[in-house]
Amino acid sequence: MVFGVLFALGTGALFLSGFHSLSVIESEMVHFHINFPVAEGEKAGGVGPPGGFRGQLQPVVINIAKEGLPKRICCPWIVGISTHWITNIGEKEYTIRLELVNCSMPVDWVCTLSTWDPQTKTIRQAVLPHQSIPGLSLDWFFRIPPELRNAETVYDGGLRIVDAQTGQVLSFLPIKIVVRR
Amino acid sequence: MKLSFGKNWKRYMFFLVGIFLFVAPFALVARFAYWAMGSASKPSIHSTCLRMTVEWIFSGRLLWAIIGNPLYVAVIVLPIFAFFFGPLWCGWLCPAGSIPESLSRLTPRKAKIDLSGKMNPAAIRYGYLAGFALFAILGLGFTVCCYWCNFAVMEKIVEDIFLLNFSDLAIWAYSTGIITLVVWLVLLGVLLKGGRGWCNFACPIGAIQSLAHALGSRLSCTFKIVYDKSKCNDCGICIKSCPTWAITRSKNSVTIDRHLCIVCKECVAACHLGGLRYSRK
Repeated sequence: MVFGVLFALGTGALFLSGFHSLSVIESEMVHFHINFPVAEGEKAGGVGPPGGFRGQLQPVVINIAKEGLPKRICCPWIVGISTHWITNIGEKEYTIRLELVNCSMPVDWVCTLSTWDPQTKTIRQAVLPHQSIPGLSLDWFFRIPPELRNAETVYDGGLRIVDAQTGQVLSFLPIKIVVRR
Repeated sequence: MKLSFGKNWKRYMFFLVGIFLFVAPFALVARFAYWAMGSASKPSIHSTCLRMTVEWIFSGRLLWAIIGNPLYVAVIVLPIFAFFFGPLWCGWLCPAGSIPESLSRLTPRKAKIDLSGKMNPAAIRYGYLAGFALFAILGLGFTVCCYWCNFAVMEKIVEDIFLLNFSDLAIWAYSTGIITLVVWLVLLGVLLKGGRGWCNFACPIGAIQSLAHALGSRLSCTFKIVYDKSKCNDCGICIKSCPTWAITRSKNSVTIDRHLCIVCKECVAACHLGGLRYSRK
């Protein structure tokens, strides 16, 4: 009997933590996937791993108003997003450069690859056809300046993937940071 | 507990070894493996992540993951090892367990919460594991695996300390990371007797190894902590020394809960009469 109660307590704690994660999943360290090359008009990716979280695809919308209290206290006005999944869905290999479009605020780029060039935002390793970049962890931390903190839309731009050799745009994923109470 | 510190000093050396082997900026195991594989990834605790691999067992993705990174086979090797030798990973190497345990030893006894003997943590941990498995099966494993990862939080702190770089935002940019830090390191670590609260209540990797150890310890050919009643004077020092509350008193004797024991051998070191030993019989 006691074992059963404690067992249920453990399961309950897990459920609570899982549901808490789900409540902040669209506002804190939002993870997304992005494919390339993608023709104009086609969806490049979306929230969650390839396939999308709950089937959601682009745009990636981060709602700061839904942030949890600990984050608001410890790390206000810094919005993190992350990806582990940049996938070449084409038939030839590419070396890619990344750009944040329409972004005037300071952003920290944090990448774990040894082939990452932080100056040019280029991944200096070829991404093979039908493959993702193995072991990738790429985070962006947007530092929202005071003048944008009362705006309903803090950022309306996206992530662009460019062929580092030719400059050709391969993909674009719209990203928005909003405050919707 | 401090009584056994000197006699069991090798264990604390292993704690350091665990940090150097698995945690960035060192992560020597992953560093060597990535060098051998020609990978450009950064060696870190993620490269040998045991939480994700437990999730993948239940979501059916483990085989594909091992093909991509053979280090993930550890999630199979460790329970087999625990079956024959006990969960030595938990007791001797795991940095996420050794850091809060070591810090808890520095906390004055009066400041610590003592829940030992008042509940069965193994039941809670198995309940947690069951929920973890269910979430993985439902495709929501990442919400409990990665968002509540004490290994990731631990690594950020260790990395920041060794690199003297405290501007890293990765811990602070999400609520669950902040809560994990407070619960794992402070509430269930520094302020709890033994400092192994997270291990006792919420570690799915530990739960699987403990289950293997509990099964294996029934066989005479396997290694475990063995109690010799003829050498016991009922002083209770072994109970006080156990960081996972695995030893309890029962009728002029002690009982070792194999579901909690991490074969750390603190009790063996603490008992001056040789009433406990790590052996097959």
